[in-house]
Amino acid sequence: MHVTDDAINSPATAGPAESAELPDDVRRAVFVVIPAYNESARVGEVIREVRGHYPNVVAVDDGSADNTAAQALAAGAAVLVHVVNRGQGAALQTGIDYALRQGAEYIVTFDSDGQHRVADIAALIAPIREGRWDISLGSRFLGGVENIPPGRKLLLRAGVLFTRVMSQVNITDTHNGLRAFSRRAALRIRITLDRMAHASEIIDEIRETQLPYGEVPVHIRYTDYSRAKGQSGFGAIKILFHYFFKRLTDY
Amino acid sequence: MHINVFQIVVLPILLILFGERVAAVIRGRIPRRVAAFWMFIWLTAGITVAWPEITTRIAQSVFGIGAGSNLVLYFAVLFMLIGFYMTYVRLRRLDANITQLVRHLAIQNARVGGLDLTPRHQDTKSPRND
Repeated sequence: MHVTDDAINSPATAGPAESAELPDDVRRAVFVVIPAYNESARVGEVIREVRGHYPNVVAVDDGSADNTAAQALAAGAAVLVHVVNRGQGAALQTGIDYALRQGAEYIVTFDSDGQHRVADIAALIAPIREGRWDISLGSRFLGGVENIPPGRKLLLRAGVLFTRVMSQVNITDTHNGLRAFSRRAALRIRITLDRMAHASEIIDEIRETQLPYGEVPVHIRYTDYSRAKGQSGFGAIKILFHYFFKRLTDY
Repeated sequence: MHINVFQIVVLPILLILFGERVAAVIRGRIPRRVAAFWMFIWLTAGITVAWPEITTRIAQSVFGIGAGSNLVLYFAVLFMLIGFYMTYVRLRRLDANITQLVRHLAIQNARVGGLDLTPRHQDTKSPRND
């Protein structure tokens, strides 16, 4: 299996055939981190669905103005509340820190708006558990995507190209919130870009750790709800600025 | 020496700024190094305003720039850019510190769910208001 040694790192991929249910003890060692900002409409439902298979769900309420935290708590998640909004990158790192302290062996990051499928988590964990690699990145372009708006698709493709040039990493879907980390990977990756630029930062971090990683096909459901919550073109420019500033200055 | 309106307005202001730094260092409010920096800035500004020919002479002989006012402008822009950069770096650090603080609080106050949290009081919309 080739992993990170190529000049342009084309990771291995795992097939969807591996998405069979994981044994009980493994599922209990999985912590699913769900960052949520003003998601009271969907977060409870999403957490219940995840908890149907994985008991350990860590919801990070990133300073929501609505009752996201109450909904998450009622749905049975461990709830961490950011008293002020710090952005999705910050929320993810908070959830990861907490999961590590609770003894997580596998950490999954999962979106709170219902666009990810719980069934894909097992496929992300399987190759880590088998020791094939330490980090699984979900790819909607290897898997499937429903109702993706053309503008969003173009933006994501641009993100992939950008990552290929900037990070010398050749993966098919760079801005997918569905990922899984082994414990040792989660301990070594540090998200410092609080806002949305963390997606590119995680890829740089992955490269720096030199830990093996791979892509796993996943399915994304675009709904009117998740579309309204997504990134705009202007947001993308801000993300670029934050990302370049860190690359150039390490701040 | 011919004095123009610009000099009449700006020179007293620079003199006040200079004097304020002198007073500050005498009262021990600021370290000598800091005072020296600002006194140098205001003194240089005063000299260039009072005798603008000097900047032209320096501009031409040292930097090969035609007009003294251009030299001043270039340096002003340069210093401003450096200032913006330093401010941005500071902001980023401040941001990182706030995030760390918020994260610490969030983890310290983690609550584990599975409870029935139907709001029972009108005044507690979210558990953050506990």
